[in-house]
Amino acid sequence: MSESMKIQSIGDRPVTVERAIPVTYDLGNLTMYDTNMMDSQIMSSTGEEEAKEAYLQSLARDSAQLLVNQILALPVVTGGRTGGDVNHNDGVFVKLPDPTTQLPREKPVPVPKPLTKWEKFAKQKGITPKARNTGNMVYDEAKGEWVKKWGYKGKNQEEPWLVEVDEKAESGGTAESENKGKGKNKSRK
Amino acid sequence: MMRILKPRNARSKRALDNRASKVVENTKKALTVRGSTCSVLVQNAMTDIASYKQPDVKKFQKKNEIHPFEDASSLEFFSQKNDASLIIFGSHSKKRPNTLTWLRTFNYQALDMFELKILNHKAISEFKKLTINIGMKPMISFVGPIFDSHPHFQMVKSMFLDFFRGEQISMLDLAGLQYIISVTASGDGNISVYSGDTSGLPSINFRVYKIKTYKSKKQEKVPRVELEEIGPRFDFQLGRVREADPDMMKQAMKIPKELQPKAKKNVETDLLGDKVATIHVGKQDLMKLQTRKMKGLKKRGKDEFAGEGNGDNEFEDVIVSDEEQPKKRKRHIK
Repeated sequence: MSESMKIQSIGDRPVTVERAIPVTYDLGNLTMYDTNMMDSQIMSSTGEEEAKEAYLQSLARDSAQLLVNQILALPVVTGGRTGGDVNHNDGVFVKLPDPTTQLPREKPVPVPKPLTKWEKFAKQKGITPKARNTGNMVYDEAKGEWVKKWGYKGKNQEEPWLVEVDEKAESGGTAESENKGKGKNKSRK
Repeated sequence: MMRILKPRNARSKRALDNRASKVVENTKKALTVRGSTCSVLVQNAMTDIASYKQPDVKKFQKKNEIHPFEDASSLEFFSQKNDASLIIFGSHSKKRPNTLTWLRTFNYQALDMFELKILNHKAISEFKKLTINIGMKPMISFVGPIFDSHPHFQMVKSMFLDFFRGEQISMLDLAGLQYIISVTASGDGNISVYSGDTSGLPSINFRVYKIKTYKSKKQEKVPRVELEEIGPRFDFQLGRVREADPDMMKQAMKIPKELQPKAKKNVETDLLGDKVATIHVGKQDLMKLQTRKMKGLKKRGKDEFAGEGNGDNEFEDVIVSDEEQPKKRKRHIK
Protein backbone atom coordinates (compact mmCIF):
# COMPACT_ATOMS: atom_id res chain seq x y z
CA MET A 1 0.00 0.00 0.00
CA SER A 2 2.80 2.39 0.90
CA GLU A 3 4.58 1.57 -2.36
CA SER A 4 1.60 2.60 -4.47
CA MET A 5 1.17 5.73 -2.37
CA LYS A 6 4.84 6.53 -2.95
CA ILE A 7 4.34 6.10 -6.69
CA GLN A 8 1.30 8.33 -6.55
CA SER A 9 3.28 11.06 -4.87
CA ILE A 10 6.11 10.73 -7.37
CA GLY A 11 3.59 11.39 -10.11
CA ASP A 12 2.82 14.74 -8.51
CA ARG A 13 6.41 15.93 -8.69
CA PRO A 14 7.32 18.44 -11.37
CA VAL A 15 8.74 17.34 -14.71
CA THR A 16 10.28 20.68 -15.59
CA VAL A 17 13.63 21.97 -14.34
CA GLU A 18 14.59 25.58 -13.84
CA ARG A 19 18.13 26.68 -14.47
CA ALA A 20 19.62 30.16 -14.25
CA ILE A 21 21.93 29.72 -17.22
CA PRO A 22 20.32 27.70 -19.99
CA VAL A 23 21.81 24.29 -20.49
CA THR A 24 23.37 23.12 -23.78
CA TYR A 25 22.70 19.70 -25.26
CA ASP A 26 24.43 17.34 -27.60
CA LEU A 27 21.63 14.89 -28.28
CA GLY A 28 23.65 12.90 -30.79
CA ASN A 29 25.81 11.88 -27.84
CA LEU A 30 22.97 12.01 -25.27
CA THR A 31 24.97 14.61 -23.41
CA MET A 32 24.21 17.86 -21.67
CA TYR A 33 26.49 20.61 -20.40
CA ASP A 34 25.40 22.65 -17.41
CA THR A 35 27.54 25.65 -16.56
CA ASN A 36 25.51 26.78 -13.57
CA MET A 37 27.40 27.26 -10.32
CA MET A 38 27.10 24.46 -7.85
CA ASP A 39 26.39 24.96 -4.16
CA SER A 40 29.93 25.35 -2.87
CA GLN A 41 28.84 25.14 0.74
CA ILE A 42 27.48 21.63 0.45
CA MET A 43 30.34 20.55 -1.78
CA SER A 44 33.17 21.80 0.41
CA SER A 45 31.78 20.59 3.72
CA THR A 46 33.74 17.67 5.05
CA GLY A 47 31.96 14.98 7.02
CA GLU A 48 28.58 15.75 5.50
CA GLU A 49 28.76 12.84 3.07
CA GLU A 50 25.07 12.06 2.91
CA ALA A 51 24.04 15.64 2.25
CA LYS A 52 26.67 15.93 -0.45
CA GLU A 53 25.55 12.72 -2.12
CA ALA A 54 21.92 13.74 -1.93
CA TYR A 55 22.79 17.07 -3.55
CA LEU A 56 24.78 15.38 -6.32
CA GLN A 57 21.92 12.98 -6.91
CA SER A 58 19.43 15.81 -7.16
CA LEU A 59 21.69 17.58 -9.69
CA ALA A 60 21.97 14.39 -11.71
CA ARG A 61 18.22 13.84 -11.53
CA ASP A 62 17.61 17.32 -12.89
CA SER A 63 20.14 16.70 -15.68
CA ALA A 64 18.47 13.41 -16.55
CA GLN A 65 15.02 15.04 -16.53
CA LEU A 66 16.20 17.79 -18.88
CA LEU A 67 17.80 15.26 -21.22
CA VAL A 68 14.73 13.02 -21.26
CA ASN A 69 12.51 16.03 -21.99
CA GLN A 70 14.72 16.97 -24.93
CA ILE A 71 14.90 13.42 -26.27
CA LEU A 72 11.14 12.97 -26.13
CA ALA A 73 10.77 16.15 -28.16
CA LEU A 74 12.65 14.54 -31.05
CA PRO A 75 10.72 13.14 -34.01
CA VAL A 76 9.44 9.64 -33.38
CA VAL A 77 9.97 6.99 -36.01
CA THR A 78 7.45 4.18 -36.11
CA GLY A 79 8.18 0.79 -37.52
CA GLY A 80 11.49 0.06 -35.93
CA ARG A 81 15.06 1.08 -36.21
CA THR A 82 15.37 0.97 -39.98
CA GLY A 83 11.96 2.53 -40.50
CA GLY A 84 9.93 -0.32 -41.90
CA ASP A 85 12.26 -3.22 -41.41
CA VAL A 86 10.30 -6.32 -40.54
CA ASN A 87 12.88 -7.54 -38.06
CA HIS A 88 12.98 -4.44 -35.84
CA ASN A 89 9.36 -3.56 -35.53
CA ASP A 90 8.99 -3.40 -31.79
CA GLY A 91 10.00 -0.51 -29.62
CA VAL A 92 9.48 3.20 -29.93
CA PHE A 93 12.34 4.79 -31.83
CA VAL A 94 13.47 8.37 -31.86
CA LYS A 95 15.63 9.90 -34.58
CA LEU A 96 18.75 11.36 -32.97
CA PRO A 97 20.46 14.34 -34.58
CA ASP A 98 24.14 14.29 -35.48
CA PRO A 99 26.48 14.86 -32.55
CA THR A 100 27.56 18.47 -32.17
CA THR A 101 30.60 18.08 -29.93
CA GLN A 102 33.69 17.61 -32.01
CA LEU A 103 35.95 14.91 -30.67
CA PRO A 104 39.35 13.99 -32.10
CA ARG A 105 39.45 11.13 -34.56
CA GLU A 106 41.46 8.05 -33.77
CA LYS A 107 42.99 7.76 -37.24
CA PRO A 108 43.74 10.36 -39.92
CA VAL A 109 41.23 11.14 -42.66
CA PRO A 110 41.57 8.49 -45.38
CA VAL A 111 43.55 9.56 -48.42
CA PRO A 112 41.92 8.53 -51.71
CA LYS A 113 43.96 5.70 -53.18
CA PRO A 114 45.72 6.40 -56.48
CA LEU A 115 43.81 5.01 -59.48
CA THR A 116 45.16 1.82 -60.99
CA LYS A 117 46.28 1.70 -64.61
CA TRP A 118 43.02 0.10 -65.69
CA GLU A 119 40.90 2.56 -63.71
CA LYS A 120 42.70 5.47 -65.35
CA PHE A 121 42.17 4.00 -68.79
CA ALA A 122 38.50 3.20 -68.14
CA LYS A 123 37.88 6.71 -66.86
CA GLN A 124 39.52 8.26 -69.88
CA LYS A 125 37.65 6.04 -72.33
CA GLY A 126 34.39 6.36 -70.44
CA ILE A 127 34.09 2.61 -69.80
CA THR A 128 31.56 1.88 -67.04
CA PRO A 129 31.10 -1.51 -65.38
CA LYS A 130 28.38 -3.67 -66.89
CA ALA A 131 24.98 -3.32 -65.23
CA ARG A 132 24.67 -6.35 -63.00
CA ASN A 133 21.57 -8.46 -63.05
CA THR A 134 19.43 -7.35 -60.08
CA GLY A 135 17.84 -10.75 -59.66
CA ASN A 136 14.24 -11.80 -59.87
CA MET A 137 12.71 -9.95 -56.94
CA VAL A 138 11.10 -6.53 -57.18
CA TYR A 139 9.37 -4.50 -54.44
CA ASP A 140 5.66 -4.10 -55.03
CA GLU A 141 4.56 -0.82 -53.45
CA ALA A 142 0.86 -1.69 -53.54
CA LYS A 143 1.31 -5.00 -51.74
CA GLY A 144 4.18 -3.83 -49.57
CA GLU A 145 6.23 -6.93 -50.16
CA TRP A 146 8.75 -8.40 -52.53
CA VAL A 147 7.37 -10.34 -55.53
CA LYS A 148 8.99 -12.15 -58.42
CA LYS A 149 9.38 -10.34 -61.69
CA TRP A 150 8.95 -13.48 -63.76
CA GLY A 151 8.38 -17.19 -63.15
CA TYR A 152 5.76 -18.95 -61.05
CA LYS A 153 3.39 -16.32 -59.63
CA GLY A 154 5.51 -13.66 -61.24
CA LYS A 155 4.45 -10.06 -61.58
CA ASN A 156 4.46 -10.16 -65.38
CA GLN A 157 1.78 -12.86 -65.33
CA GLU A 158 -0.74 -11.09 -63.14
CA GLU A 159 -4.18 -10.39 -64.55
CA PRO A 160 -4.89 -6.76 -65.36
CA TRP A 161 -6.68 -5.13 -62.43
CA LEU A 162 -8.90 -3.09 -64.72
CA VAL A 163 -10.62 -4.73 -67.65
CA GLU A 164 -12.92 -2.84 -69.99
CA VAL A 165 -16.42 -4.18 -70.43
CA ASP A 166 -16.60 -6.31 -73.54
CA GLU A 167 -20.19 -6.03 -74.71
CA LYS A 168 -20.14 -9.17 -76.77
CA ALA A 169 -19.04 -11.28 -73.83
CA GLU A 170 -21.53 -9.64 -71.47
CA SER A 171 -24.54 -10.37 -73.65
CA GLY A 172 -23.74 -14.07 -73.40
CA GLY A 173 -21.75 -14.88 -76.48
CA THR A 174 -20.45 -18.31 -77.31
CA ALA A 175 -17.32 -19.48 -75.57
CA GLU A 176 -14.13 -19.82 -77.49
CA SER A 177 -13.93 -23.53 -76.83
CA GLU A 178 -17.26 -24.17 -78.49
CA ASN A 179 -16.11 -22.55 -81.68
CA LYS A 180 -12.83 -24.42 -81.82
CA GLY A 181 -12.40 -26.76 -84.67
CA LYS A 182 -15.61 -25.67 -86.29
CA GLY A 183 -14.29 -23.31 -88.87
CA LYS A 184 -16.61 -20.65 -90.10
CA ASN A 185 -19.57 -22.17 -91.87
CA LYS A 186 -17.38 -24.00 -94.26
CA SER A 187 -19.29 -25.78 -96.88
CA ARG A 188 -17.86 -29.08 -97.88
CA LYS A 189 -17.68 -29.51 -101.50
CA MET B 1 58.32 -1.29 -35.38
CA MET B 2 55.22 -3.15 -36.51
CA ARG B 3 55.76 -5.24 -39.61
CA ILE B 4 53.38 -4.46 -42.46
CA LEU B 5 50.89 -7.30 -42.73
CA LYS B 6 49.86 -8.50 -46.17
CA PRO B 7 46.44 -10.16 -46.10
CA ARG B 8 46.66 -13.77 -47.23
CA ASN B 9 42.93 -14.43 -47.41
CA ALA B 10 39.63 -12.57 -47.52
CA ARG B 11 39.09 -12.81 -43.76
CA SER B 12 42.39 -11.22 -42.83
CA LYS B 13 41.86 -8.59 -45.52
CA ARG B 14 38.52 -7.69 -43.95
CA ALA B 15 40.14 -7.47 -40.53
CA LEU B 16 42.86 -5.21 -41.89
CA ASP B 17 40.34 -2.99 -43.70
CA ASN B 18 38.38 -2.66 -40.47
CA ARG B 19 41.47 -1.20 -38.82
CA ALA B 20 42.31 1.15 -41.67
CA SER B 21 41.38 4.83 -41.76
CA LYS B 22 37.72 5.31 -42.56
CA VAL B 23 35.44 8.24 -43.26
CA VAL B 24 33.10 7.19 -40.46
CA GLU B 25 35.22 5.62 -37.75
CA ASN B 26 34.62 2.62 -35.53
CA THR B 27 33.71 3.06 -31.88
CA LYS B 28 36.92 3.76 -29.98
CA LYS B 29 38.26 0.77 -28.11
CA ALA B 30 39.89 1.04 -24.72
CA LEU B 31 42.60 -0.83 -22.85
CA THR B 32 43.16 -1.05 -19.12
CA VAL B 33 46.83 -1.52 -18.37
CA ARG B 34 48.34 -2.19 -14.94
CA GLY B 35 51.52 -0.52 -13.87
CA SER B 36 54.18 -2.37 -11.93
CA THR B 37 52.98 -0.66 -8.76
CA CYS B 38 49.27 -0.97 -9.41
CA SER B 39 47.38 -1.61 -6.19
CA VAL B 40 44.22 -3.68 -5.74
CA LEU B 41 42.16 -0.53 -5.25
CA VAL B 42 43.28 0.81 -8.61
CA GLN B 43 42.68 -2.54 -10.28
CA ASN B 44 39.13 -2.64 -8.95
CA ALA B 45 38.58 0.95 -10.03
CA MET B 46 39.69 0.12 -13.58
CA THR B 47 37.44 -2.94 -13.66
CA ASP B 48 34.46 -0.83 -12.61
CA ILE B 49 35.15 1.80 -15.26
CA ALA B 50 35.68 -0.88 -17.89
CA SER B 51 32.28 -2.39 -17.14
CA TYR B 52 30.64 0.67 -18.73
CA LYS B 53 32.82 0.41 -21.77
CA GLN B 54 31.98 -3.21 -22.57
CA PRO B 55 32.32 -4.74 -25.16
CA ASP B 56 34.81 -2.22 -26.53
CA VAL B 57 37.36 -2.70 -23.79
CA LYS B 58 40.26 -5.07 -23.23
CA LYS B 59 41.68 -5.62 -19.76
CA PHE B 60 45.34 -6.48 -19.47
CA GLN B 61 46.21 -8.79 -16.60
CA LYS B 62 49.99 -8.50 -16.36
CA LYS B 63 51.85 -5.66 -14.73
CA ASN B 64 54.02 -3.47 -16.89
CA GLU B 65 56.92 -1.22 -15.99
CA ILE B 66 55.71 1.96 -17.72
CA HIS B 67 55.93 5.65 -16.85
CA PRO B 68 53.50 7.32 -19.27
CA PHE B 69 54.58 10.90 -18.67
CA GLU B 70 58.20 10.03 -19.34
CA ASP B 71 57.86 7.58 -22.17
CA ALA B 72 54.53 6.58 -23.66
CA SER B 73 55.96 4.47 -26.50
CA SER B 74 55.07 1.21 -24.78
CA LEU B 75 51.45 2.29 -24.50
CA GLU B 76 51.51 3.41 -28.14
CA PHE B 77 52.63 -0.08 -29.10
CA PHE B 78 49.74 -1.62 -27.15
CA SER B 79 47.38 0.79 -28.87
CA GLN B 80 48.60 -0.27 -32.29
CA LYS B 81 48.61 -3.99 -31.57
CA ASN B 82 45.08 -3.97 -30.18
CA ASP B 83 43.62 -1.19 -32.35
CA ALA B 84 42.64 0.70 -29.22
CA SER B 85 42.82 4.48 -29.09
CA LEU B 86 41.92 4.94 -25.41
CA ILE B 87 44.15 3.66 -22.63
CA ILE B 88 43.76 3.78 -18.86
CA PHE B 89 46.96 3.08 -16.99
CA GLY B 90 46.78 2.38 -13.28
CA SER B 91 49.62 2.97 -10.84
CA HIS B 92 50.37 3.71 -7.22
CA SER B 93 53.29 5.40 -5.56
CA LYS B 94 53.94 7.34 -2.39
CA LYS B 95 54.08 10.60 -4.27
CA ARG B 96 51.09 9.81 -6.52
CA PRO B 97 48.87 7.35 -4.72
CA ASN B 98 46.12 5.45 -6.57
CA THR B 99 46.49 7.19 -9.90
CA LEU B 100 44.79 6.53 -13.20
CA THR B 101 46.45 7.93 -16.29
CA TRP B 102 44.00 8.44 -19.19
CA LEU B 103 45.63 8.50 -22.60
CA ARG B 104 44.20 9.07 -26.06
CA THR B 105 46.01 8.19 -29.26
CA PHE B 106 45.84 9.53 -32.75
CA ASN B 107 47.23 7.31 -35.48
CA TYR B 108 48.63 5.12 -32.70
CA GLN B 109 50.65 7.99 -31.28
CA ALA B 110 49.99 9.67 -27.94
CA LEU B 111 47.66 12.62 -28.45
CA ASP B 112 46.89 13.85 -24.95
CA MET B 113 46.87 12.45 -21.43
CA PHE B 114 46.11 13.37 -17.86
CA GLU B 115 46.33 11.86 -14.39
CA LEU B 116 43.41 11.40 -12.07
CA LYS B 117 44.09 10.51 -8.47
CA ILE B 118 41.38 8.47 -6.86
CA LEU B 119 40.36 10.21 -3.65
CA ASN B 120 37.65 7.74 -2.83
CA HIS B 121 36.05 4.87 -4.61
CA LYS B 122 32.89 2.94 -3.93
CA ALA B 123 32.69 -0.13 -6.14
CA ILE B 124 29.68 -1.35 -8.11
CA SER B 125 29.53 -4.40 -5.89
CA GLU B 126 28.86 -2.18 -2.87
CA PHE B 127 25.65 -0.81 -4.37
CA LYS B 128 22.33 -2.50 -4.79
CA LYS B 129 22.59 -4.78 -7.79
CA LEU B 130 20.68 -3.28 -10.70
CA THR B 131 21.61 -4.73 -14.05
CA ILE B 132 22.31 -2.59 -17.05
CA ASN B 133 22.51 -4.35 -20.40
CA ILE B 134 25.96 -4.33 -21.93
CA GLY B 135 26.45 -1.91 -24.77
CA MET B 136 23.67 0.49 -23.78
CA LYS B 137 24.32 4.11 -24.63
CA PRO B 138 24.56 6.21 -21.47
CA MET B 139 23.25 9.69 -20.94
CA ILE B 140 26.11 11.91 -19.83
CA SER B 141 25.98 15.20 -18.01
CA PHE B 142 28.76 17.61 -17.13
CA VAL B 143 27.84 20.07 -14.40
CA GLY B 144 30.04 22.93 -13.37
CA PRO B 145 31.30 26.08 -15.07
CA ILE B 146 34.91 24.91 -14.85
CA PHE B 147 34.31 22.39 -17.60
CA ASP B 148 33.85 25.30 -19.98
CA SER B 149 36.48 27.68 -18.67
CA HIS B 150 39.54 25.65 -17.67
CA PRO B 151 41.42 23.98 -20.60
CA HIS B 152 42.50 20.98 -18.51
CA PHE B 153 38.95 20.33 -17.44
CA GLN B 154 37.85 20.70 -21.04
CA MET B 155 40.30 17.92 -21.84
CA VAL B 156 38.83 15.76 -19.08
CA LYS B 157 35.34 16.43 -20.45
CA SER B 158 36.43 15.51 -23.98
CA MET B 159 38.17 12.34 -22.81
CA PHE B 160 35.22 11.17 -20.70
CA LEU B 161 32.82 11.83 -23.54
CA ASP B 162 35.04 9.91 -25.95
CA PHE B 163 35.32 7.05 -23.52
CA PHE B 164 31.75 6.58 -22.38
CA ARG B 165 29.61 7.63 -25.29
CA GLY B 166 29.63 4.25 -27.02
CA GLU B 167 28.42 3.46 -30.49
CA GLN B 168 27.21 6.18 -32.82
CA ILE B 169 23.54 5.59 -33.55
CA SER B 170 20.93 7.59 -35.40
CA MET B 171 17.83 5.79 -34.12
CA LEU B 172 17.46 5.42 -30.39
CA ASP B 173 15.12 2.96 -28.78
CA LEU B 174 13.51 4.75 -25.83
CA ALA B 175 13.81 1.59 -23.78
CA GLY B 176 17.57 1.97 -24.15
CA LEU B 177 17.71 5.07 -21.94
CA GLN B 178 18.83 3.20 -18.86
CA TYR B 179 21.51 5.08 -17.02
CA ILE B 180 23.20 8.42 -16.64
CA ILE B 181 26.82 9.24 -15.90
CA SER B 182 27.02 12.49 -14.00
CA VAL B 183 30.39 14.28 -13.88
CA THR B 184 30.47 17.36 -11.69
CA ALA B 185 33.08 19.78 -10.45
CA SER B 186 32.27 22.66 -8.17
CA GLY B 187 34.21 25.89 -8.11
CA ASP B 188 34.56 28.52 -10.77
CA GLY B 189 37.99 27.53 -12.01
CA ASN B 190 39.52 30.98 -11.71
CA ILE B 191 42.84 29.35 -11.17
CA SER B 192 45.65 29.95 -13.57
CA VAL B 193 46.63 27.01 -15.73
CA TYR B 194 50.25 27.96 -15.46
CA SER B 195 50.50 28.16 -11.71
CA GLY B 196 51.16 24.44 -11.66
CA ASP B 197 49.36 24.21 -8.38
CA THR B 198 46.92 21.43 -8.96
CA SER B 199 45.88 21.17 -5.33
CA GLY B 200 43.72 24.26 -5.68
CA LEU B 201 41.65 22.72 -8.43
CA PRO B 202 38.27 21.27 -7.53
CA SER B 203 37.79 17.54 -7.41
CA ILE B 204 35.80 15.79 -10.08
CA ASN B 205 32.83 13.80 -8.88
CA PHE B 206 31.90 10.82 -10.98
CA ARG B 207 28.54 9.21 -10.30
CA VAL B 208 26.44 6.69 -12.20
CA TYR B 209 22.71 6.32 -11.71
CA LYS B 210 20.04 4.08 -13.15
CA ILE B 211 16.99 5.82 -14.54
CA LYS B 212 13.43 5.06 -13.53
CA THR B 213 10.52 6.84 -15.13
CA TYR B 214 7.18 7.45 -13.53
CA LYS B 215 4.01 8.59 -15.21
CA SER B 216 3.46 12.23 -14.46
CA LYS B 217 0.01 13.46 -13.50
CA LYS B 218 0.80 16.98 -14.56
CA GLN B 219 1.95 16.19 -18.06
CA GLU B 220 1.00 13.12 -20.02
CA LYS B 221 3.82 13.19 -22.56
CA VAL B 222 6.81 13.67 -20.28
CA PRO B 223 7.56 11.27 -17.41
CA ARG B 224 9.03 12.09 -14.05
CA VAL B 225 12.60 10.83 -13.88
CA GLU B 226 13.97 9.31 -10.69
CA LEU B 227 17.44 7.95 -10.10
CA GLU B 228 19.05 5.20 -8.17
CA GLU B 229 22.78 5.01 -7.74
CA ILE B 230 24.40 1.92 -9.19
CA GLY B 231 28.02 2.96 -8.93
CA PRO B 232 30.90 3.17 -9.21
CA ARG B 233 31.33 6.28 -7.16
CA PHE B 234 34.57 8.20 -7.71
CA ASP B 235 36.08 11.43 -6.54
CA PHE B 236 39.04 12.32 -8.71
CA GLN B 237 41.75 14.88 -8.26
CA LEU B 238 43.32 16.12 -11.47
CA GLY B 239 47.09 15.63 -11.50
CA ARG B 240 49.63 16.12 -14.26
CA VAL B 241 48.37 16.97 -17.72
CA ARG B 242 50.07 16.60 -21.05
CA GLU B 243 48.24 18.56 -23.69
CA ALA B 244 48.14 17.53 -27.32
CA ASP B 245 50.60 18.84 -29.85
CA PRO B 246 48.57 21.55 -31.69
CA ASP B 247 49.47 20.22 -35.17
CA MET B 248 48.47 16.70 -34.25
CA MET B 249 45.25 17.96 -32.71
CA LYS B 250 44.48 19.90 -35.86
CA GLN B 251 44.94 16.71 -37.89
CA ALA B 252 42.75 14.81 -35.49
CA MET B 253 39.97 17.37 -35.63
CA LYS B 254 39.77 17.34 -39.43
CA ILE B 255 36.37 16.42 -40.82
CA PRO B 256 36.46 14.43 -44.09
CA LYS B 257 34.85 16.04 -47.12
CA GLU B 258 32.13 13.40 -47.25
CA LEU B 259 30.83 14.41 -43.83
CA GLN B 260 30.98 18.16 -44.26
CA PRO B 261 27.50 19.65 -44.63
CA LYS B 262 26.74 20.34 -48.28
CA ALA B 263 25.55 23.85 -49.15
CA LYS B 264 22.45 23.74 -51.35
CA LYS B 265 23.06 25.74 -54.48
CA ASN B 266 20.47 27.66 -56.45
CA VAL B 267 17.86 27.62 -53.66
CA GLU B 268 17.12 30.79 -51.72
CA THR B 269 14.38 32.18 -49.53
CA ASP B 270 13.07 35.53 -50.71
CA LEU B 271 11.85 38.42 -48.52
CA LEU B 272 8.33 37.02 -48.27
CA GLY B 273 9.62 33.76 -46.92
CA ASP B 274 8.95 31.81 -50.10
CA LYS B 275 11.44 29.24 -51.23
CA VAL B 276 12.74 30.27 -54.61
CA ALA B 277 14.93 28.10 -56.80
CA THR B 278 16.78 28.68 -60.02
CA ILE B 279 16.47 26.05 -62.71
CA HIS B 280 19.07 26.22 -65.39
CA VAL B 281 17.44 25.43 -68.72
CA GLY B 282 19.62 24.99 -71.77
CA LYS B 283 19.66 27.58 -74.47
CA GLN B 284 17.34 26.85 -77.40
CA ASP B 285 18.54 27.31 -80.93
CA LEU B 286 15.44 28.86 -82.44
CA MET B 287 16.70 28.05 -85.92
CA LYS B 288 16.55 24.35 -85.19
CA LEU B 289 13.14 24.44 -83.51
CA GLN B 290 10.70 21.82 -84.85
CA THR B 291 7.72 23.95 -85.75
CA ARG B 292 6.10 21.56 -88.21
CA LYS B 293 4.88 19.27 -85.45
CA MET B 294 3.26 22.02 -83.39
CA LYS B 295 -0.50 22.09 -83.94
CA GLY B 296 -0.91 25.45 -82.28
CA LEU B 297 1.16 27.20 -84.89
CA LYS B 298 -1.04 26.13 -87.81
CA LYS B 299 -2.94 28.82 -89.63
CA ARG B 300 -6.57 28.56 -88.73
CA GLY B 301 -9.77 30.09 -89.98
CA LYS B 302 -11.32 33.33 -88.60
CA ASP B 303 -13.76 31.51 -86.28
CA GLU B 304 -10.94 29.77 -84.47
CA PHE B 305 -9.25 32.93 -83.23
CA ALA B 306 -10.48 32.30 -79.71
CA GLY B 307 -8.01 29.52 -79.22
CA GLU B 308 -5.05 31.54 -80.45
CA GLY B 309 -3.83 32.43 -77.00
CA ASN B 310 -3.06 28.78 -76.32
CA GLY B 311 -0.35 28.73 -78.92
CA ASP B 312 2.07 30.51 -76.59
CA ASN B 313 1.87 27.84 -73.95
CA GLU B 314 3.31 25.21 -76.22
CA PHE B 315 6.70 26.90 -76.14
CA GLU B 316 7.00 26.36 -72.42
CA ASP B 317 6.36 22.66 -72.64
CA VAL B 318 8.99 22.05 -75.27
CA ILE B 319 11.69 19.63 -74.27
CA VAL B 320 15.02 21.21 -75.09
CA SER B 321 17.42 18.89 -76.82
CA ASP B 322 20.27 21.35 -77.46
CA GLU B 323 22.07 22.81 -74.53
CA GLU B 324 24.68 25.22 -75.82
CA GLN B 325 24.48 27.88 -73.14
CA PRO B 326 22.28 27.73 -70.09
CA LYS B 327 19.35 30.11 -69.95
CA LYS B 328 17.85 30.94 -66.57
CA ARG B 329 14.17 30.80 -65.71
CA LYS B 330 12.79 31.47 -62.23
CA ARG B 331 10.10 29.22 -60.90
CA HIS B 332 8.38 29.48 -57.51
CA ILE B 333 8.53 26.29 -55.53
CA LYS B 334 5.97 25.75 -52.78
